Amino acid sequence: MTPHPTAINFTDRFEAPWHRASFDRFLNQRLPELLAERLPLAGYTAHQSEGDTCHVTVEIAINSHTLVLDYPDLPQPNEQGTFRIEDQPHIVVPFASQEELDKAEVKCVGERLYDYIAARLGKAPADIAWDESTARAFLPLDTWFAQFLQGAAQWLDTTNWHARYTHLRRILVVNDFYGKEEHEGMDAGLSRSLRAGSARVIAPGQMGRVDPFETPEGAYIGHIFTIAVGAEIRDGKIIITDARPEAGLGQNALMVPFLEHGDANRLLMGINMMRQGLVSPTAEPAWVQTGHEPRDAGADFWCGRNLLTAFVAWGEGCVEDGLILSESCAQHLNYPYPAEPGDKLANRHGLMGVVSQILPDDQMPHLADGTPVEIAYSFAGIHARMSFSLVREAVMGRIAHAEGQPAVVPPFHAPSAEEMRARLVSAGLPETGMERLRAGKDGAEMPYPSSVGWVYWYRLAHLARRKLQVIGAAQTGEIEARPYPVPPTNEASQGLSELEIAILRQVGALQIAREALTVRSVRWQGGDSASPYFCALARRLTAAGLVLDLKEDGLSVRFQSPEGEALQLARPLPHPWLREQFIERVGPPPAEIGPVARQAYAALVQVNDRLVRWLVAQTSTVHSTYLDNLMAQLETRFAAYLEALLPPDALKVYERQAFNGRAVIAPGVGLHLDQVGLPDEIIQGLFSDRAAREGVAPDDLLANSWVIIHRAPSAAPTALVAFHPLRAAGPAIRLHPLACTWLNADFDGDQVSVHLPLSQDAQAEAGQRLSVAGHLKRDPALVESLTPPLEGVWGLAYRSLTPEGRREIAEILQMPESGVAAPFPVTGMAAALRALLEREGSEVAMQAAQALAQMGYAACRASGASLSPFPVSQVPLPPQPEGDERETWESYVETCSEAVLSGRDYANPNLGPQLLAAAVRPRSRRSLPFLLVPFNPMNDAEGNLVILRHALAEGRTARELFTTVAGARPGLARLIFEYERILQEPTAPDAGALSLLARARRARRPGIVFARAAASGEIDPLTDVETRLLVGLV
Amino acid sequence: MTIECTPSDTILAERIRARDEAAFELLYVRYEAALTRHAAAIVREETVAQDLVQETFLRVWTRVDQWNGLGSFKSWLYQIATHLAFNHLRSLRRHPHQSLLGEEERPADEWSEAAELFAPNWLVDTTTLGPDAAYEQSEAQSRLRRVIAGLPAEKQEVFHLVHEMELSIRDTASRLGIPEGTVKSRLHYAEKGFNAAWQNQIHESEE
Repeated sequence: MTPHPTAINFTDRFEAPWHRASFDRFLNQRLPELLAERLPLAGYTAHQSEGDTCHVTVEIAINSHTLVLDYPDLPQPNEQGTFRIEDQPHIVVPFASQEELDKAEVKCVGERLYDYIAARLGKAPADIAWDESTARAFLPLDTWFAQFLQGAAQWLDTTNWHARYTHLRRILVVNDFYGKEEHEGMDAGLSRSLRAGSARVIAPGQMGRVDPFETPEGAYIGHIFTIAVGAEIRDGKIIITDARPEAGLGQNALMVPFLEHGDANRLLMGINMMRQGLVSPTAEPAWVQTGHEPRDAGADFWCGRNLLTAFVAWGEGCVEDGLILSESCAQHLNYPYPAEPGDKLANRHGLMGVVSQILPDDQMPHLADGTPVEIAYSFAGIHARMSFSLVREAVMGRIAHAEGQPAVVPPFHAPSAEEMRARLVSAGLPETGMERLRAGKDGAEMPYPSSVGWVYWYRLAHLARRKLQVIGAAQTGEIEARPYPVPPTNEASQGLSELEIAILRQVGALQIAREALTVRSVRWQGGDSASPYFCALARRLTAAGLVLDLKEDGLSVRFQSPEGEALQLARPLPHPWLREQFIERVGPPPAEIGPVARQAYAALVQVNDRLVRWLVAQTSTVHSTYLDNLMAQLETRFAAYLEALLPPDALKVYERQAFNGRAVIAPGVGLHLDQVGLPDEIIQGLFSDRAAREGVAPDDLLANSWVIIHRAPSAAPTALVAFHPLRAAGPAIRLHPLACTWLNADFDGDQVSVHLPLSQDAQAEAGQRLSVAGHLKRDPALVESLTPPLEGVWGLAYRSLTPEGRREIAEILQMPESGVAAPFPVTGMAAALRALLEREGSEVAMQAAQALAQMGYAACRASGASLSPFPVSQVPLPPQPEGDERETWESYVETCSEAVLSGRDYANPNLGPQLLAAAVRPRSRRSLPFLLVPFNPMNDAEGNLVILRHALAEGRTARELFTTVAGARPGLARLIFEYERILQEPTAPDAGALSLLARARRARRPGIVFARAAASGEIDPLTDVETRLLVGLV
Repeated sequence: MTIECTPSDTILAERIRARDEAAFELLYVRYEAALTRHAAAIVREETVAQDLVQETFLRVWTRVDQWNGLGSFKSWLYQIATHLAFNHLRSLRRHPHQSLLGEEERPADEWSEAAELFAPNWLVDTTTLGPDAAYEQSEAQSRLRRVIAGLPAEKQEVFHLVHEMELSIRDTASRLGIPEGTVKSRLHYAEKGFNAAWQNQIHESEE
């Protein structure tokens, strides 16, 4: 293999010296300059201790003497750049002024603290009678330091070495921080730039300065970065200190072996996940390293274990990213307790999955020499995710294991296929990197050889057991006291919002919606006739001088001066929601609403008090600008208060729910399609109350009950699906794999919430409307998405190559054998299920869908199918064109793609399984060519056309990889922004409804709708379904 | 030829002392903007500065008697603004929930603590309170009114005059036509009764 020229000069120290340098400059230079500008400074000293504090003394000149102000314990960062606050390390992340990081001005902690103080420190008038108290009020350095850190310091992520290191080298782009108050903080600055559309997610000036991969996979994409190992912040700029391509990576990316064989988006995920690796005392160094690992990084650097991994789909537990572990493997991953179903494992390439099953070693696939495999990970997703680097790592891990020492694979210097084959041979291993595995200790040898080797896996800190939440009767201890115990409002309770209520209304599950808005709300008070939503709305309106009258036959609203504790206005004012109406008193904000309204009320009280005092002191009626100003201010503050009292969001539904739980999902092996497996804790929480009242065991209630599984975001009615609960071992919710598409879920750490409808009516509704059968009845087309996951589809395609297989499929689908194509595409399965549903009904179609999936999983499991580490096209590819013409290369790429996809030798372990997948499933067809064919030419971050000559299997050059990052990021960002937009999009569930409440809910100023209704004497007849639900009427 | 001279600050001050609102108007128009800049330079927040200046002018009108006529009226004006600005800065340092009335503001006489808390507005100086404290104060004042309503009538009157109308004991005495000593004793008993009633209110509000 190519020896690595020079390792990055990386030491074990935290290489982020800019924090401390910036603070020191602030303390010793810029702060005294500022003080001298703003007050009569007579002296200044700053003494920095070895520890976490510094001591500042400020002397103020007063005539002939000086006043000494002592600030003995101001916080300061240590040499690493961290502050110790309440005994926890904290960091202040530097801000960059723009995405073009070569031009950006960077403000580190010292500059940010300077801005904070400069914005608050006044200019002292000349004739101040200084004394200690006055001076401390004027210059509360200690308070300012504390407040600044409270707002700006982040708790240092100490999850592991990667997290800590990355956090120390993080930088945040805040496009327009100049002229803005520091205390607005990053969220305000960022959301402003996102709103303004000024966000650019990649820019040429970032190359070499920040890691191209490491940026959040959320709204902050393209705004949070990690300084590359070959760059640093110096004097307010990010400068490049090492221009080699690998030095343009962050430390985490530098530790991904075979980086050049991976996909940009997946690498982004893999690198972000490194920071979440669970630190374990039983961790070991990887057998495949890059040579850039810090030599002395400390105990929490390595988080994982080298685990013998076979890329095979080992049954139903191996679908949609589910992982199967051997018992020995779970024992290796034993901190803080052995791995269990629902725990999430990841590798350095960005592929991850939750543990679905832990099998005895004997039941795992075995190598030819009798060694049981430790992890089975489906081959099916790897080429779709383009994470080919994972397969290469496995093979290299096998070589390293055989050679008895770690292999070193530096970025952009990975060994070629030929080199690896040679090393496999010399290590006495199969040259193909694959071998025929046995299906269990005593099982048969499988027909396809499989890729197998050592992959470095680690457990993520999000352990399934810690994600498990439940809130039900057991938490309240009030079973006797109320018909529906009200648990305390807490974070564990799941909320239902507009979207879910809209779905429940749409599918006609009104009893469930009603329960969600009344008895299952944690705000529900047993005696209320109206919903908590209505009561809260009424309280707000009461403060504004409007009373809602809810009667069985109508909802009306009238003006009424608030009683009790209310503010008597100095003068009657026109009501901001209806100018003709004058108002004399206004109520304080209801206790439950936030500080914005409280502050607006306080500001109103303040000016009102002043006006009262002025009017008391007045005798004449001469025109007074002063009075005019006070009156104008009173009106402004009154209007501002009312707006704060009833913003449009106040009418949005969000009810925290009781009788629900939440957990990570894992594939449910052997479930029926209308079943879900629930952990003990959730069963107990949801059912113990009713079980106690009925004097039965909770399990006796399960078979006849429905629970509703909810997966956010609720983009479609199938975000809510009802299942019969079963008790399942472990802390994960066991979801039927066929339900994944409906719930938009997969098994890479996704969580769902589970809700228990309480009344008999609501239970019946869950079964009729929200069960799988219920959804199918409402929308028969949904049956087409009950085709199996990729592994099942592949298995069926494989079986369909034989007449016996086609006969079996035809029997399941009750169709003529001639209708089963060889290979049988997923679209054919969908059509057959649809026809079956229409002919025989949902129960038969559901049975068929399950039988089909089981047949597919079994076939896939028995085949040994995998992905070759050294794939080549079965059909020879034409030579690469000369020159750098975009069109020529695009034609070449197209020609090659067609050539690769024209391969038909499905039995050939070289690409056969992938070609079979591509033949039956459009998405696999799209992604397969990328393994062997270059990408179309792309523009790099600077806009230059780059010809991407190398396919994934060949490995890209640094330039090519960076270009694909530049090409991939805007697309990823669009997806993310689109997702965020959908989540935030205001939902007007019943856009046409004319009821009072519906109109107010759509209004920008809902108060006006209510006020005008009061003036006109409108009575809403309460015929609108949504209104009736919201106010809590049956 | 005579020119209607713009009156000097001193003349304005004298007229204001004589309750001439036109003079106050002139003073306000003359100094409002400059005082706002002055206050903003100290407190560095425009809206706070506007509030402080309004409060400054209110005090000019209600306490013009306190101007000793020695220095310039303008500098007295600026002193009030400066004083209020520093009060505001002090209030920012205090945790708004710890005390409704800063130590600097606490009257040094024999008033009971409860009465102190609900001293007249000019003593409490709501501009120096953070929004939360001002809110709490407004709540507390409405509780206070309920307590006062429960006192015997003559004590209510004294309490009301002294504490709410901001009258001195002498003014109270003359207004009610009773000796100052009687005002003091009624006030004493009013406060005593008030304290007991107040304690009850506090307990109720905490439950």
